[in-house]
Amino acid sequence: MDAFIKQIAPNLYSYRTRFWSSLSATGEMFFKAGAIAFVLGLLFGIMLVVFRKGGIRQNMIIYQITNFVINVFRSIPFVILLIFLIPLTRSIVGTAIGVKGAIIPLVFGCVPFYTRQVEVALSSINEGKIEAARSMGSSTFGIIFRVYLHEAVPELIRVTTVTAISLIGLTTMAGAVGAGGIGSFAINYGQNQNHQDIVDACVLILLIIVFIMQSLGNLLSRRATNRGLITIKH
Amino acid sequence: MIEIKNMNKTFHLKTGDVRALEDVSVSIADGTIYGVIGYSGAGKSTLVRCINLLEVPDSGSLKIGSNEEITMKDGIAMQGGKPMGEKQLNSLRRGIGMIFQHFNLLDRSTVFDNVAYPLKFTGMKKNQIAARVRELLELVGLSDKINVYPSQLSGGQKQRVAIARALANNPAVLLSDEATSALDPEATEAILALLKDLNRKLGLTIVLITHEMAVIKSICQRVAVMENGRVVEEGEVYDVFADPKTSIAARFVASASPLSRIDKVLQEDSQFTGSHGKLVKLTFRKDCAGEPLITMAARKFNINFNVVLANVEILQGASLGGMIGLLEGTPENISAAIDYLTENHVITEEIADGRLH
Ligand SMILES: Nc1ncnc2c1ncn2[C@@H]1O[C@H](COP(=O)(O)OP(=O)(O)OP(=O)(O)O)[C@@H](O)[C@H]1O
Ligand SMILES: [Mg+2]
Repeated sequence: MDAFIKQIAPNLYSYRTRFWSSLSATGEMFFKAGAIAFVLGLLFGIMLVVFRKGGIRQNMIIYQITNFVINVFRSIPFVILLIFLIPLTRSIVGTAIGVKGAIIPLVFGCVPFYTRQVEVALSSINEGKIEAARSMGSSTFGIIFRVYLHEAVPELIRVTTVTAISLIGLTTMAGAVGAGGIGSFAINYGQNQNHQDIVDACVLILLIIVFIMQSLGNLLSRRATNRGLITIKH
Repeated sequence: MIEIKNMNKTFHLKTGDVRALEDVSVSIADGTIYGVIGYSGAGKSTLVRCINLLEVPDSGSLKIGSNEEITMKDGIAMQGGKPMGEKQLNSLRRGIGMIFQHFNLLDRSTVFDNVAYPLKFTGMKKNQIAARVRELLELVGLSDKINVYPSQLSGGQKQRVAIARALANNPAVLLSDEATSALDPEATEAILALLKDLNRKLGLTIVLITHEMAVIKSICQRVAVMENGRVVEEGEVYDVFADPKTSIAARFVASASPLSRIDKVLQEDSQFTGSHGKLVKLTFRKDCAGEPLITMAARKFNINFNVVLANVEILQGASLGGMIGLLEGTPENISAAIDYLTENHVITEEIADGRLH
């Protein structure tokens, strides 16, 4: 195996430790930013659905503010957002470069998109189910967790997959402006040094990651939906 | 007793205001099956949603059983002089079950979990919940489907699950919003029989919305007819059927009466609309059934009574007879015969223009 790679991708082979550390930096950015974005996106998505007009706790002020902020950050292109957030990032984590400096802009880039996706997923729940839960005297939190989130699981898995894939894209973009990871590896060691095999390897590994994510997402979403075909023992 | 007094509810839409309830007052006695009928948009759903305060009326008052009266002020529900909080509203709602046209079950939960939904977080232990769920499923006749998902059930079975769920917290009242409208006739009949059974067994008060008079006829004791946000007619189902006072009630009654076929008969056969006699509709209430009134009238006034259509139905265990006949004889005798029948409590109605109503 070693010899084979050495033969077909000699430059990749000589930078293999850097390749692996870049990959793990990408992983770190992805998981840290992803975890924060997951929680915030769910939170804001739920807020939009709960506080909207006709929602279970209609509150137009909270709704409008959340909606406005989400819209503003969604319309800023990510590369501009990266630069724009440098002072904020520096004041919070002390640096604006490297993996550490990338997490905040990644969260800002990802949350608005994910929030919208969550909002759509939750809105797909039939109003009748909400009405039934309300008629049973279910509390607001009861309805959020036991109707909205519970019934939307397959949809939520689907939109989380889509968001995760787009977050991979964002991490490589962040890499291009100094965050490290597979993106900056492809630019600095591949493109800039004219090592095509390194660029190819980066493309390949990203394709594999995206493919695995998509397949996993599809599988989980399908298993969560297909409740009609399995019976569970109590 | 559910007492609704002077309820008003207006929806403000961009296209204008919709008065969904206009000064509605209704009392529903404990243990009755109370029907609410009306065409689409009449305000039926709004009325029942105002009973469990899913919708808060703009004004009016509501008293349910021994609970303290709730009065509405500017769209806020007040109890004991204070606005009701989320907790109070939820506890009120737990005492009132509700079922819907489209069942509204949780698709990703089993029958067990659907029925257990309202029991969780009520302080019940797991095994108590399981026992209660089994009991409820037995009550609705679905014990064998406990671990199945709703997608594997028929419409009628889904509605049974919904009924079990609605009854989980032992409510005294069940609100049914078009609960049989999405079911085929057989399942409709079975669900209505189940509701009647629950009404008898548990003393459950049922408020049942429908746009089908046949449903009212089969299980309701009293009925309110709604039109444009108002209750335009209200009374015992038997009385409304025997003698509807408003044209809309008459239309609903006709929709569930075989005698309404007269319209068709008249269209196809012009002999009845000729000038030989008078076409009349006679309704025999329970207090005049049994006497040969027609024969007596025919003898007494020397007229012929030619039966066109006749029908007897049993409503609330009492018979209600209906007959459409052609009276032939001199005009004086015919009107004397009609007077005679009216004196003997037969409700008579001339079909002058060849239409029942
Ligand atoms: N939440 C709402 N917002 C705005 N308008 C509403 C709302 N709910 C009901 N309405 C309006 O109030 C009127 C009465 O509606 P309601 O649903 O009570 O009628 P209904 O008798 O139940 O009719 P259907 O047989 O079609 O269910 C209708 O004109 C309806 O459009
Ligand atoms: Mg309705």
